[in-house]
Amino acid sequence: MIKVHCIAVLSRQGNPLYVGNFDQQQEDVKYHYLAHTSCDVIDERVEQNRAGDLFLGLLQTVGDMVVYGYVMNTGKRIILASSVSTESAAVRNALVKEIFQAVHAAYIAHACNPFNEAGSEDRLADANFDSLVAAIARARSTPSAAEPLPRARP
Amino acid sequence: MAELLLRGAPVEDTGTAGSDGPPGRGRTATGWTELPDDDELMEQVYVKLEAVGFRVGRRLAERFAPTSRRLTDTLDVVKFVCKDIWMIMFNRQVDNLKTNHRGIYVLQDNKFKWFLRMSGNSGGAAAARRAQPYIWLPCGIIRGILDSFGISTVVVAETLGLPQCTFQIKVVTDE
Repeated sequence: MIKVHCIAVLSRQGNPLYVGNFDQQQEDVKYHYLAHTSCDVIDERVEQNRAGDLFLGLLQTVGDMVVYGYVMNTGKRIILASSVSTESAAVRNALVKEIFQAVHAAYIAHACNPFNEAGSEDRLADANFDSLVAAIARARSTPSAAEPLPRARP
Repeated sequence: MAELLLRGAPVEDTGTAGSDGPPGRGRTATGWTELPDDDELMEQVYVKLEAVGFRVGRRLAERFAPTSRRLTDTLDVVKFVCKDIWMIMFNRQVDNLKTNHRGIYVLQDNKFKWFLRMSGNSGGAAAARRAQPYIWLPCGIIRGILDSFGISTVVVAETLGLPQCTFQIKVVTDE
């Protein structure tokens, strides 16, 4: 199980397109900060391993939170902050990667909607995307969750 | 789409319409329609079609970018356009890709799908000129795809004889 605190989508230049705060214990600004500090780590990882996977693994640990990163081929970055748990690293990585792929699919669905043109370069304001990502974040937060993650309509 | 734009709203704007009624404008006995002899209008159509293609390209890139590997340099991205995107759009791959390794890529398609059924009575050159508006949309698509991979480019296309088509991609550096 993964208690997801935050999922953020950033542009190639690091502008926050979307920051979803799912625990309400911390203020949004904390997650904005996390997302931005992670940008440098992502740049470093991408530079180090140029032909790797889209999933970048664990980026940093901040207090009781762990931050994972994922970079799309089109330059957008997804960042996920969750609380530390007891599972092994391999199990966690697989779970987090699955969540990233679901968020990526939700992003693609958003990007392919021809009506989402206005201002989509600097803000990702889409109610469908919001609710889908919230559902994805919730889906793995109970110990027994085994059903597939919510998917965007193809 | 190209035909619509050439005969549609912009024609009224520039005041060239209505010489002999909108539907039959420029039509000869053979059913062949000439392109309007108006560079300004053609320019407007070009800008419009290229912009539409750009938006389509941006979305194609998001939708079909590979999810299992990262494309890092420009050549990788151009190869992705030649193989995957061409397969999706035209059901074939580009025949020939040339590059000078200094930011110019030339994609040659010997049987460009949209040109396969086009021909003209008055010879290949006239038909090639007449087909020009139809390659502006794919030009925009290519530029849109490369743009979403973070590469700014200028894309121009030309055709020598009809089913053949050549796209030249020139990478623009920010200096």
